[in-house]
Amino acid sequence: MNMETKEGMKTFCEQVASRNGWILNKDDETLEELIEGLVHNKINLGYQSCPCRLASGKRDLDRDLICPCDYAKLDVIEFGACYCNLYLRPDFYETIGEEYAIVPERRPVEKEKAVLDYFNESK
Amino acid sequence: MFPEFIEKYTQEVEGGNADHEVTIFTLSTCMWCKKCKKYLKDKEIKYKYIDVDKIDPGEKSKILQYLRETYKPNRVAYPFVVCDDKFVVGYDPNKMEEMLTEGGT
Repeated sequence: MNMETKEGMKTFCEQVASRNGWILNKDDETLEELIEGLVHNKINLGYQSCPCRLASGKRDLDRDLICPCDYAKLDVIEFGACYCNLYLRPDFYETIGEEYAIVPERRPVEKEKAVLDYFNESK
Repeated sequence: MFPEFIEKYTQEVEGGNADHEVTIFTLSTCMWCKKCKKYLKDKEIKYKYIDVDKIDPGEKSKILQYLRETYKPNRVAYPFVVCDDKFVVGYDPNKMEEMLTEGGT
């Protein structure tokens, strides 16, 4: 499975969803954009960092954002969707009643602060 | 109008509605940011955007610092939508509609 291709990344995401009892977003355009974002990050960063969050580019600082991110499980349980809305709870479309869910950021502020410090060091 | 270190990275998208000064801070990979750009385009709103992920780390730091200090948001997330002197964090069409209707003054 080559995760630097859209087909490979989609297969990866399908496997993640299946393993966790989730489904993928059913909106074709949204799914395609999310997959494209993951492929872009995989190629440019070397890992599939969450496409909806700003990665530092330093793997150790982004480890919690590598898809599926550390926050996906709780977000899917609580909001029906992960932060990106790539992974959804199987009953999402029946119970949420919206095309998408706005999921608040669960990532600890300290981790964002560490990224900011890292950027500062690059000045 | 933002400081020069931000303005130099902005890209302008033309639109018939230029009632407000709208700038969005986005990620080029982010689906929500793409939805936000489409929302503004569909409403023919003139806006500027910056893909923050495409900027050098040192410059990113200055921009993030500016957003934090100027708007004092709980979090900086994307898209970060600024309309005049108001802002909305994340893609939320209802909040954006409200902000664009009421304006930022």
